[in-house]
Amino acid sequence: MIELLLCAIQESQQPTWHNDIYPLMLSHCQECHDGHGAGPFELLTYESVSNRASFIVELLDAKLMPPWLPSQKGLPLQGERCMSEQQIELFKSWVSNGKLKGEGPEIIVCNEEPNTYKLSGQTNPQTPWIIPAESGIRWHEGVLDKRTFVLPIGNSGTVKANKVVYQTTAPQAVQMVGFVFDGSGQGVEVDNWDAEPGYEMMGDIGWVPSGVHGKIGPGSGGIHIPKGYYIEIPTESHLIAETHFRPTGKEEQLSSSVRIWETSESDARKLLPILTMIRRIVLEPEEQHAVEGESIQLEHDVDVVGITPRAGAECESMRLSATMPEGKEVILLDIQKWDPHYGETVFLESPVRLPMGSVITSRWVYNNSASNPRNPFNPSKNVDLARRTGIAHFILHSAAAESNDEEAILAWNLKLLRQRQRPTNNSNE
Amino acid sequence: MVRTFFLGIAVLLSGCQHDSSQHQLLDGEAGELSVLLFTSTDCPIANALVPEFKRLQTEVEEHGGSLTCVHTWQTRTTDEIEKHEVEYGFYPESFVDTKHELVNHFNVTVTPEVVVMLFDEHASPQLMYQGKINNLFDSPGNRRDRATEHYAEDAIRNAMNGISISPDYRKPVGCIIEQMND
Ligand code: HEC
Repeated sequence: MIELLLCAIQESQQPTWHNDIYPLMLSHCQECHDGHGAGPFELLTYESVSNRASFIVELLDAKLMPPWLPSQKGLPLQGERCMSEQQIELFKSWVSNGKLKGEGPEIIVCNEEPNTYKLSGQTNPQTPWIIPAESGIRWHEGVLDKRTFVLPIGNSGTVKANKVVYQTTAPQAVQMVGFVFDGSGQGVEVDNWDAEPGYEMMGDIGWVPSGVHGKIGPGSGGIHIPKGYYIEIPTESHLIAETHFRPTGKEEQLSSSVRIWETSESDARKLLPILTMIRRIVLEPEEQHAVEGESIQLEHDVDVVGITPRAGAECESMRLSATMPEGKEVILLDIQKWDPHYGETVFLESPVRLPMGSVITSRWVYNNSASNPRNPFNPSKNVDLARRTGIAHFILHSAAAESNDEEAILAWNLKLLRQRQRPTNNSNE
Repeated sequence: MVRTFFLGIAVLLSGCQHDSSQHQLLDGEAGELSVLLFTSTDCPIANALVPEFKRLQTEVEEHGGSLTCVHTWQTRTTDEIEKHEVEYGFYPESFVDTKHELVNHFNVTVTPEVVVMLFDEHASPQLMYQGKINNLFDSPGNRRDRATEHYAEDAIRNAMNGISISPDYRKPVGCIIEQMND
């Protein structure tokens, strides 16, 4: 694609909608802007794009669209959405050359998933949750723009899933959704406390963090586990979906459903969570550039396949890196401009082996000043927040290099969680 | 400041008090307040502010003023606007600025953007405030959970007492209005 575009520029042909821009919209915008998805309008017709071309140029220059948080400093990731400089230049030159239409066929895009899923579940469509027109409700001093829903799956045995597709009736209001497939029954028990759909608490189940089975952002619509790996869905599961929403100015009725595909690969390997985190964060009002982090040392060889980030709105940037026993450092994931709404699970282009003894280091930079537009408080307040699964964390979705290490890795991860939980007066745990 | 601005081409969409196709949007009586909200039904930044628009409408109308939504998308149809009104439960007086006459007159750059006018003793419109409505958005993509500063509301309250506020212009954040080709 890039080569094609370069050619087009070199030959100094004037770019047209049909030859140049429509393909760009299909590859980079259609995922969300097809008129039914997370994006607020379709961007697949000449009229729609040419009538907001200046606005699009501004957003492309600011790297706001297509939304993609990870920077190029980390390892290459699957499905990177960002547009190259050449592609941005091509769009700009189309605009400055008078937004020529050119000629070509209208292509109809059909994105139906094949109907071969193994399991499915949904919230009760008779009792949708009403997303308010604007934010305002506060709970425990936090901003209440999230709710956890419980979708019964009811599988009779464990399932090795490699794809989870999630749909909502309010795709523009729903932002990030974190998943846990819970076989313990705890989620449904909490949900049954009252007749309202879902509950106000987070989607963690005990020590299991929300997002352990992936987290989606607006438009991504699901989790696609790379070839060769799977997530295990325990028997009699419920999908616990911690759902973050951003009011759209009108009341929206939210119901959701999920479909789950099973891997056909007999030798696929199970993804296990390894958590590195900060359990508690304490910030003074107006405190900026506060750096928090921890290092953990691996006790087994693992292959890191995917990463799920978590942090609050006051966080500005984050980095996850690993130092191998022989001293080589790899940046696994680097996010310069954090936005919790787009904090989805990412999968590495190719998994990276971290041998036993590797040190995983995580680092978050916080800005608690009122000038940070994401700070919910103006003037800024003291922040003192804790969560046993991490107020900020990275989940490294990893496979054991030796399958008989799986139990030991899970036990090691749980031991670390318990250690961090110990009460301490020192906030720099 | 133009005294009267005839919008012969503007499409009048709702509001029974105006039955003429020539709406005198910049015409008013001495002491009257007129608020123009430049908007677009599919701009997510404007839509997120609809609850604020409703509060402004109540405020303005309680004091006998008028609030009008000016749609900046030239080909926006009556059907589309009515559908949007039902969805959002917001039924303002609405215009489609098909030739961008109002957009150009006020140098409006984005949606949403507000223009607050007060008609002086000679029934001539005085611009009291223009620009940003509140601080829900710091920039596109940088959104607060809720607005903590309400510039349009402050301007309207002051204007009702004949006081203009400072600054009387704040750069608005929103969806850039595409310039017309012709
Ligand atoms: C992964 C989903 C996704 C992709 C891909 C995407 N967008 Fe968006 N877009 C959104 C969402 C969601 C919004 C609504 C604003 C928000 O929530 O940040 C949006 C809003 C917009 C807006 C309105 C501005 C705003 O801040 O509300 C424009 C214009 C836009 N997108 C253009 C594009 C273009 C052009 C592309 C392709 C180059 C693109 N988008 C790709 C999800 C996407």
